Amino acid sequence: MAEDLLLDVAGVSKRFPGVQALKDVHFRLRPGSVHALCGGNGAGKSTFLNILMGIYPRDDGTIVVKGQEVRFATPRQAMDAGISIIQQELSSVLDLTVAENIYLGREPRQLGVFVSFPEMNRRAGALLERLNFEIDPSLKMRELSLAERQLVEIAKALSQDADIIVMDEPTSAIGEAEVERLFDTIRLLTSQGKGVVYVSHRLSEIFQIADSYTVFRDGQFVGDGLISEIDRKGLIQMILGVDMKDEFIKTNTPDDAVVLKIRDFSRRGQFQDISLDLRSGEILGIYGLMGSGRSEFFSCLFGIDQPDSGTVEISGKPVKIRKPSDAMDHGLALVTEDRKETGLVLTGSVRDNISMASLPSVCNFAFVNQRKEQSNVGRMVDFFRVRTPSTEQIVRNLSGGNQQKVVLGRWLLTEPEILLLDEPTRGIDVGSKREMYGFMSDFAKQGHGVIMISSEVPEVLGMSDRILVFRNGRMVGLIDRAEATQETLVHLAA
Amino acid sequence: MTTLPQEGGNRSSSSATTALQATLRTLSKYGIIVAFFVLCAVLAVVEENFLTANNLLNVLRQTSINGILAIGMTFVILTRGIDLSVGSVVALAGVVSATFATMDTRMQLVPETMPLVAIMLGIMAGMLTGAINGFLVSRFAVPAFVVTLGMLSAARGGTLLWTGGLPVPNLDPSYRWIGDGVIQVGNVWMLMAVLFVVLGYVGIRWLNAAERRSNGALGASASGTRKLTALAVSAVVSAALAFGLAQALPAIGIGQTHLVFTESATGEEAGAFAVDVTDDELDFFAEQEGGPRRRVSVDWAAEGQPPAPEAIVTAVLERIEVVDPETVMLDFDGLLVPLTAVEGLESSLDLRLGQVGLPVPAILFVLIFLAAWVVLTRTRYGRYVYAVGGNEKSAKTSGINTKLIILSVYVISGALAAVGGMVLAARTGSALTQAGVAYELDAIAAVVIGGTSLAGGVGTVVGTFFGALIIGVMTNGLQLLGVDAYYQQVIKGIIIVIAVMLDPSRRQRE
Repeated sequence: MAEDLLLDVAGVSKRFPGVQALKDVHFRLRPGSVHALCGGNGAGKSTFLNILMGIYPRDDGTIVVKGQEVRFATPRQAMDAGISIIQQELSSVLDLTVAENIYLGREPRQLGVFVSFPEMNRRAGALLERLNFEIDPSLKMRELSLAERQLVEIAKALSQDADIIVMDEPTSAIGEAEVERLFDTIRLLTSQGKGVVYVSHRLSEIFQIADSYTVFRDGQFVGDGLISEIDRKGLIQMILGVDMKDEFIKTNTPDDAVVLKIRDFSRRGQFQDISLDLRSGEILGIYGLMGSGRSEFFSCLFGIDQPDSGTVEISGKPVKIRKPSDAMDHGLALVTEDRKETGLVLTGSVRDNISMASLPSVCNFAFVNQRKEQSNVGRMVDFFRVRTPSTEQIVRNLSGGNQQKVVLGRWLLTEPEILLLDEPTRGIDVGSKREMYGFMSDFAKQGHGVIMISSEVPEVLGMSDRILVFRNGRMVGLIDRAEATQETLVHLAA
Repeated sequence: MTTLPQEGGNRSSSSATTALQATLRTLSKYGIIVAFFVLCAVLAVVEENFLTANNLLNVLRQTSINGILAIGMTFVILTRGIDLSVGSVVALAGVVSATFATMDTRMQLVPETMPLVAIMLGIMAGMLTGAINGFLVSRFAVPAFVVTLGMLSAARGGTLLWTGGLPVPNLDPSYRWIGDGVIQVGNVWMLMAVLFVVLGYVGIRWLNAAERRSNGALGASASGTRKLTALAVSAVVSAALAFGLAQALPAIGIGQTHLVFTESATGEEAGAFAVDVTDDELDFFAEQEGGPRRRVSVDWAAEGQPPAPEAIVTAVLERIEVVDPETVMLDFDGLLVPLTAVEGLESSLDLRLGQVGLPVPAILFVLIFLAAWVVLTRTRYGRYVYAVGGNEKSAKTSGINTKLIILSVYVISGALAAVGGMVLAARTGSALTQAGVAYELDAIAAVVIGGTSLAGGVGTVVGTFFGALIIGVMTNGLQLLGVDAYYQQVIKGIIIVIAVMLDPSRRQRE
């Protein structure tokens, strides 16, 4: 039976000091299959992949690749055995070209020592063309957008001609159009009999591309099966391990009072003529492709950048926002799209991060009143149920969902009236997502306003009272909750 | 992430391991301090001259300037920057202030010396160069390395231009006090008080932390009774330590006896003794207290026991021209003994045992360190420095004026480099245009050894304090051991790199 499997993992365990990270897990990958590996944060997915790739040794169990039992000591050995991985964190060398990055360490040679650049560029060009990625292989990585860099990483993994390709959150940084191209590529690979291990928090992608699944929870194997035999709700239930009523929690209802009124907001090259009214108690969704100007709009609204034109009124009063502290004075709070890049101080503690935006309120003159600060921080940790050993824990060591809660705690302490959320559930597990939805609803219910940017259609549909669609920096539609469907949104945005 | 239920019998052993783990964590957190004391202990064993009053005071003097520079550097490196210009600012601030404090009429900018004004102007010169650095870095996003490299050259040039390339000699004695003065910091009682404050504070902090660990509550603090107990214990311990030290110090040779003697009321005109004493310090407060006073230090460390009263008198007489011995009094903390009554010296001397004198630069270093510690850990500004260094974009989004913070750390670094420069000039007695060359390297080394990350956002000024001390003690130790000067540099370089490689706090971060 093992012979016709690409990958057969049985009984693998791994213990770290104080933590049983993996316990007796199984994983079976058939040729030609896209197999989703699902689980919340801390489920053991990363540990599993690290063991598979030879980064950690395993304590127990067997890994059989194409009928041969293996024990990799280095990632190199795993690659030689036909396993390649697309990393979640980008690891490209920014000052090398696309082609150089793809063939890093495997450059085609002339006379044994000299790198043959024309040959390398030609091969890279052919590869990118085959994958339908429109990227010039001679460009420096630095000149590419984040999404394009991720595509190059994908191309790099595919260039190794592996039989097993591991994709760890491959779509977290790329736009919808690129996702489609990635999926085309995956279908091409599976038609050649290769297997893909697909890790993603985005359930809709799993149901779109995967044919089978395996679920881990708390380091243990929970179950596996065919995607065609399970529905979204069932999968979420398996991941969470609790009975789940609804994926989204929506309890707020907007009333008529306008809390934020924006007219003719424009910034050259980014967005034009954005006008909207946010009502009290409302969650306003913004849907649009990556690069459609949605995040740039938030940046200008919050005073990080300056708009070329446009007016803002908050609770009926015209306001000028020139810097973030002005926005905060007017009750705005911004949770940015990229937690690690612009949200958190990763080197700081939970306390540092939560109190960062509201320090003036706990200061006597220049000095921080540590008692007051600690009580505020403790309140937020309890409120959002941040899972952390202490408030002195360095934020880098928390999971994505807990990190996002830390950012929310920071902003809630500034007592905002209007919350601007940019992709608030990106890269966090299903359980934390639900908590996030609950918080948004509760916040809006208190008569506050929420604007939420999201690329996930079900989330926008599930949470928004109205949906604003962005395309190429322009508003192309404002749809009521009742009338919005997946088709209309995708159609308008593309 | 689930922990398996423990068997009942394992409980006590597991809590013991937790305590051990916690202790090890604490130790590795303060690894730099442990390393410092280990280094000192090793040197004390292998080199008998290490643990002597003269030598330790020397180390303190030498370390102080680098330490003051390194504290400024810590602020800059915490924001992910670097300040390569501090060595040149040392020279610039030195000559700028010296031209207001020199008694050499050719170099004077104004016809009289104005020590306080000179110090202010020196600090302003440092702040100005720092402001230029900070402005360029924060406003135009030029890499700090490049900006301060430019300033390294420009400030050195400015130094040469200011004096026409000449040194500024013959500085006013009260200006020189900041470089070579000594302050009596107290006796056994003050030592006890300081120990009590430090131990009591650490004890309560430790109790609070233990409380947090044991019941997991966020921000819990220990109960009042336990705090009182901790205070009582630290009082007893500090008293024992202080008296123990007071007894032990003379035996191991730490201790310096200062005989302050004054002209008697019936004596000569004021100023009669105020000449020709070259290696002693003029009392800074002489003028306020009425009548010039001379402080003569008789160092008996090398002998291992106090000198005979006759020897003291001889030493005193050697240093000054006594017009009439009858008019000179020896002052033991207000107890006046006539110079002629030498029989009384021995018993009076006991009164002074355990009295500690510290060089002014060392006191400056410690005060600046304490101020920097308070600023970085207790103020909003300090938090913002860490936030900006950890993630500038996040800090900006949180409403922090990141440009102003970045500008300010270069101003701080410039000001402290200026203080270091003036201390150096005061110690040397003249401001040299080539002062401070390559000082930036030792300052950066102290910061890095102290565990501050060049990537910004991580580090402490406590680490820097001990980093500077380690460099100072290491240099001193190599000198005492008679290591060839060329080898000294090689060894120092190797030790710096190894220290950072082994730093546990750095490994934890990765």
